[in-house]
Formats: sequence, structure tokens, C-alpha cells
Amino acid sequence: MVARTLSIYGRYFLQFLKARLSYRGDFIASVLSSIVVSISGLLFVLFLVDGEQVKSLKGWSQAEVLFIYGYSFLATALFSTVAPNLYGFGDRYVIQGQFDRVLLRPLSTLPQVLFDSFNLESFGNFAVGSTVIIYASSQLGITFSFVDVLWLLVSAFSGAVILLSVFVTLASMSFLFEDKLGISAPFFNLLNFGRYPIPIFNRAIQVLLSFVVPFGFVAFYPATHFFGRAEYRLYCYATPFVALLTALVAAFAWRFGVSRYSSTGN
Amino acid sequence: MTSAAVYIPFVRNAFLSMLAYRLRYYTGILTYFVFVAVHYFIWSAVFAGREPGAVINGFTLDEMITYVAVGWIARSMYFSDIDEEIDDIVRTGQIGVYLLRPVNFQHMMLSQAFGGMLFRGLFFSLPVAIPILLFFPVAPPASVASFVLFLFSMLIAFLVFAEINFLVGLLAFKLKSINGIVRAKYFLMQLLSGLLLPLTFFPNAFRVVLEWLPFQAMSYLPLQFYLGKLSGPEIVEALALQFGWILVLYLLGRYFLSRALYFLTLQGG
Repeated sequence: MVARTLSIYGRYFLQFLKARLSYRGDFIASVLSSIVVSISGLLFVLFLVDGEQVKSLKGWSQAEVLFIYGYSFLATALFSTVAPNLYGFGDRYVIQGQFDRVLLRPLSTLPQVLFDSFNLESFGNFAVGSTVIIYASSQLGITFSFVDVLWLLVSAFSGAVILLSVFVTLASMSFLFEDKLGISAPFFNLLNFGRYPIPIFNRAIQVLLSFVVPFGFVAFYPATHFFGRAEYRLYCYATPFVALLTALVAAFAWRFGVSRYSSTGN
Repeated sequence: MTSAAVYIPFVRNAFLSMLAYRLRYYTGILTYFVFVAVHYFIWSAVFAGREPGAVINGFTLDEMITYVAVGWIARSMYFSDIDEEIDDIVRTGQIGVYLLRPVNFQHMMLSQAFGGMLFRGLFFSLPVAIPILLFFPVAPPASVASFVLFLFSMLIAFLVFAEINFLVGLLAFKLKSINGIVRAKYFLMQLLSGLLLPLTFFPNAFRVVLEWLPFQAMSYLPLQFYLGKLSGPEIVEALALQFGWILVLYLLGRYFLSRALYFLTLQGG
């Protein structure tokens, strides 16, 4: 049963890949664009904390800031491969009624929506993020043991799950309030906070990013594992549990949303 | 040459269509607030541990906060998205209808963007500005003259931004989707215009090149005016360069539009 479901989603992916690669110039333009996006964000950090005029952000060195920034790309890149399906979900699925199609198929609804299309370009971001992490690690003198690499993978995956859960929860709202754009845009921007050391922000924002919209767990907290800053240890290793918790909330919100869905009736 | 009055309905149209998306409006205001807040804390952290009034690359912390806040408020005004509109018009095939009209497509799109700006200036930038001005210590303009110059430079910023968008939009004639490029353009322009950080923070090689490019017309230049950082001859020089760019970008738009239309094939009716 599981094997069959997986093979169906495998076919979803292959189908998408065929369509995507048939426009090669288009695909290359998108990959380059996504690399430009991550590099321009990176240049901002690099020019701002240049190590000469500005040596640190409130005690966080250039290499540490870069490391966190690069770290944030891992989770966001994983998340972005399926994110476009959620952005504009309300318009396409609820208002235009495409959700009917989803409900008619004998598969779970959420994976069908998530795997409807894939944003392969985000692997450009993943590559940029990895490069930055390697560079910053050499500056900081960090060496990666087996456990470290494992933590990197687990926390990146957890970060992606947190992002996915937040945006699935937001997309679920589209079932209740029909609006073309939904409310995810400001949350996407809130994510910008999560790319920096959280302690540079004021108390209210720290609480917001730790307990309400837990973007602090997307990069900053798990990255402190590599800095030997013991004061964040508890938060750092809570990352996978936060992911689990947000996933539960998202699953509940989604179920509730689907139960409220009424077709456009065309 | 058609008379300018022909384009007034397009201005009005853009104005009305913005009213239609209520939620986008509110989330837009929130979005700008979040942007300013993030950068407020980043700059505070940059200046942390220095004595008050310390200068980094020509800016004090107070100036930087004003720079960031006014910069984002200004962006809320000169912003336009005709690239995405052109993409939509080309993809849905409406382009055929547009071309049948006895108006210049480039002028029409620019007027539409202008209508958007008038709307934004009145009904969006103001609500964006109020919470930002309440929460963050934003200084008033350096003088009346610098404020007038700032407002005038908003018009330049609008034209440069819209003309670049028009050029990006023309890519829709060639590519299946320009979404990725549009996104990359936003991020690149935020950096190159000096919105994220003043050009004085860039390494020298970057800075020299950027000083000759049109991007600074959107943020760095208007904010230099606002903060009263430029002297007479520098002002004239900067304005002359940007007028030159407005013309060059306009002609580029005209040239690439004619090429795009020459190769355009429309399917059926």
C-alpha cells in the first residue's frame, strides 16, 4: 500500500520533470534567477558585516552570521521545492474549485496538493547555502564529525517541516476566508528574521520567533550547535520536537479546513 | 503621436483594480512594517557597542534608521508590477486585443503604472508610513529644499522602476514564465538600489560601477536628498545622469517591444 502510494507520487514527479525540462531555456533562466536571489541576500550580509568597519552584529561575528544565513538556505530550499503549491492555494484550489479534483482521487489530499508541482530551482539555493556553510565553517574552525553531519541533516529537515507546517496552516485558512492571495505574504517576510542571530532582535520578536511562529528553529537555534554557545542548548535540540508539534497543528488545521470546503459548483 | 488624454482611462483603471484586493492591501502594509522592523534591528546591532553619534561609512545610527524607514515607505509608492501584467497579457493572448487599440503599448503600460503610483501615494504609502513613523525614530527631511528634491526624485524613481519592469515584462514574449526572473529582479534591485544598505557600504569596485547605473535612482539618491547629504553641483550631476537613464531605458523599451512584436505569433481567435 505504502509502496503503491510512493510509486504514484514518483510518477507525479516524473510527469512534472518531463514537462519542466521540455522548456530548457526557461528552466535555466529559473535556476539562474534563484541563485541570483540567494546571492543578493548573501552580499547584503557580506557587505554589511564586512569584518573591518563592522566586525560583528551585537557580538555575533561575521563568520557566525554567515553560517546562520547559509544554514537558513538549507531548510528554505527544501521547503521551496513544494512551496509554490501553497502560495496562491486559495485562488487555484478553493476559489476556482480545483480542490474537487483532489477530493475525487483515492489519495490523501495534502500530498496531492504539495506534489502537484515542484520548484526544482531551489536546489540552486541549497548549493549556495552549502557553499556558505563550508566557507564560514573554515573561518570558524568548525570540523564536522559524523554526528554533526547527522544533526545538520536532521535540523535542516526539521526546519523544512516547520516552514511547511506554518504555510500549510495558513493555506488551510483559505477554506474559511476566500481570498485570492491569502495571508501568507507577511509570513514569508517574517522568515527574514529567522536568517539572523535571534538575540539581535527585541524581546517581543524573540518570543514571536520562538513560540508563536517558530522561525527561530529554521536556522538560528539549530546552528548554535556548531558554535559551542551553551545558553541555547535547550532550544537547539528542541528543533525536531518543534517540527513535530507544528506538523500536528498543521495536520489538524488542514483537516478542519477540508471539512469546511464547499465546491464552487461548476 | 496620440494625445495624452487617451491614456487617462488606463490610469483610472489601474487605480480601481487596486481597490478590488482588500486583503492584499492590509497584508501589504504589514509586510512593509516587517521589512523596516528587521532592518531597524539589524542596524541597531551593527552600531551596538559604539558611542552615540558614531559614524560608519558616512552614516550615524539615527540617519540609518531614517534611511531604512523612508526608503521602504518610498518604495511602497514608486513600486509597480507591469512586468507581471505584461506576462499575464501575453500568456492569456489578450495581447492581440491590446495591439488592436490605436494606442502605444509602451505608453499605455507606463500610464497604468502611473495610475498605480497615484493610488499608492494616497491610499497605500500613507497607511504604510503611519505605523512606521510611530514605532521608529524617523527624522524629518534635512530642509524644505531637500524634501522638494526628494519628492521630485520619487518621480524619477518611479520612471526608472517602471521602465526596467517594462523591459523585464518583454521577456514574457520569449519565455514561458518570467516568475523566477521577476523575483530575482526584486532582490537584486533591493540590493543595487541601495535600499538595503547605502552604496558607501559596498566594496569600492562595486560602488564605482553602481554610481553609473540607474538603480541608485530608486533608493540611494532620493535618500541622499532626504538626508541633505549632497551639495549643489553633486545634485545637478546626479539628476543629469538619471535623466539620461530615463531616456535610454525608454528607447530600449521601444526597441525591444518592436522586435518582440515583429516575431509575435497569435493563435486563433
